[in-house]
Amino acid sequence: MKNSLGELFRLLGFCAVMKKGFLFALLIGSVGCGSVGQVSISDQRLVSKPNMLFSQSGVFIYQNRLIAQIEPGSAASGGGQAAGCTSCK
Amino acid sequence: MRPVIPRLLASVVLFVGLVALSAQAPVSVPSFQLKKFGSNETVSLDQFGDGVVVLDFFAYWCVPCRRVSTELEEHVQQYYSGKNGNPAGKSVQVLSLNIEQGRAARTRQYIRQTGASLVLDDIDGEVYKSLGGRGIPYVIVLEKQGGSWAVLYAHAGYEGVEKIRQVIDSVGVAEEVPRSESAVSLLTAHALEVGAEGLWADDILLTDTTATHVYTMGKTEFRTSYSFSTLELDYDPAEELFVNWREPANVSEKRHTLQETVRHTLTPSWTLNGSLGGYDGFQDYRSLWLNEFYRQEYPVGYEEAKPRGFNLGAGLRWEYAPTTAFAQVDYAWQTDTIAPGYEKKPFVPLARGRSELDTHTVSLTLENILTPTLRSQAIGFVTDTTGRELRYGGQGSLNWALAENWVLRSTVGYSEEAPRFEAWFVEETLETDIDGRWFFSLTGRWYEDTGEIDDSLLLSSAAPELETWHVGVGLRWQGENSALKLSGGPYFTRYGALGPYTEPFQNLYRGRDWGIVQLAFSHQF
Repeated sequence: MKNSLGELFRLLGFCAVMKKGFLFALLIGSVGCGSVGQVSISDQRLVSKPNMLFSQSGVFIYQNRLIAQIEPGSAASGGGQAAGCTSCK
Repeated sequence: MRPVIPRLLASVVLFVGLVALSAQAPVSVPSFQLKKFGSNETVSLDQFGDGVVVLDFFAYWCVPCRRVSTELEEHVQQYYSGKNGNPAGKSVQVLSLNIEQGRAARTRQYIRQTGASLVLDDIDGEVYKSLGGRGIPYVIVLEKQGGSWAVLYAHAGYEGVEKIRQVIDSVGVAEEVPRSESAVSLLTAHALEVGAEGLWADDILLTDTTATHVYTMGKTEFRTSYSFSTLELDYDPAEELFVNWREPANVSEKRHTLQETVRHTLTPSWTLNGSLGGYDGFQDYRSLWLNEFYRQEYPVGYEEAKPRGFNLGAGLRWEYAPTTAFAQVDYAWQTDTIAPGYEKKPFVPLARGRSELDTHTVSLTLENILTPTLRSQAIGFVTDTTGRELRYGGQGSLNWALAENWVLRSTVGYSEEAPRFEAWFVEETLETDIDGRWFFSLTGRWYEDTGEIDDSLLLSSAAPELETWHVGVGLRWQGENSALKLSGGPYFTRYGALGPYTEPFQNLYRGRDWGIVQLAFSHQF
């Protein structure tokens, strides 16, 4: 069960991510779409729902903060993550 | 050589000019007639021809509109009613124009929450479009001059009630006549959030409880957050031949964190952010485990660790398309006093690793509405930490409205650091709206990295390559001013093979099956 889930997420991860190109494309696409065309207000109903926003409220944050203690590569990592090692990075 | 730069500049100027023109509201507008919300009664703009009219375009799903409608009703409609008009005696009427005709029950709830007293149905947003609307909230102030209505003020977004009252107070008042109470007392609002998280395995228990108070005063928002975290672990050292000084121990620590963030709206498009904070205590269970290891391993030479840190940050946010898109640049400096590592080489005194670290981070965040069903957020960052190479990373998120009641939230992240660290994660959350108040979600997360970098010679405490995955379910309740969420599920961590000189840490870097639970509550008042 656990191995199957791991394989599934590994597959999803590689399919969805496609390494650095995906993030770069998203960044460029995001700027391009935002600059060139705008979605009219009458079409913004679905994207304005509370669970479609990127909110700071814990009620709408879906990532668990404690996981960052284990995953050194999560975005939340800071300098303190190197604690305990002589020269961990 | 072709004059490329002048052509590019001309194109930019033309583009900006076109955008500016398309965003401009008309200087005068014809009268209109609309039906009252939930009624066949018709209301004409000309009914208020003797005074000033404030148009407030809204839809129930527009989150920022709630504040606008509430403030316009309380601090414009009721304020001027109580004073029999503006300083010149002109009556003032707020008309709330609903541009969303679906889900009337949700609109009724919005009206009840905001207190809007006169709501009209702007079917298909006809009036909204004719007045140059490009995003909501959209506020217009009108005065009848001659046979037509003159636009005194029009703005997509919200500049605050002070600005609108300045415009209203100026109507019909000669310049030399002092205005009554042109200075408006600052409006305030509060929100309280409390969250608790737990993460446990058979030998580790981690908890985090956070309380956040958000205080809005005029154009400034103060977000004060306090966290209390606990770390408990059954320290179980590895058994090695000829090593008899290592002892199991129960180790526990507490951490306190205080963070203050201030956001100040400079103009409707520009916002300035500032933050400062600090913590006192171990940041993660791994450093606590290693600290206990060094304490036992090197009783002579070990120094008690007192981890703590301080951070300072500033940022600037530019909303380049009203209510639709923004770009934000942030800089943060963090200084950490960490529990250092120790290294013992033959014939050399015990060496204590670096304990003071400075981290500088610059990040760029872009958020856009890409299509009527897609909202995106892209974050790129560069981090510079003492004694290390630069770390580059990014995170992309897409929130996709699959159907009326289904939302898929996808996030992928990547970071890398020379010479050989790479990390990836992907997270998917599918949420369904059961009845408008209850929401059910299913989450999956996968993470992988190549293992930490460690250039120690004899004893490497760096984590080997790691793979984790998590599945979870969540239930959220959404009330009128409150919201509650409970979520949880299993989380699995699997490390790769330990490298040479890492035997003492085999119990730290072993696979674990964890449980996660998260509870969050928010209330606005």
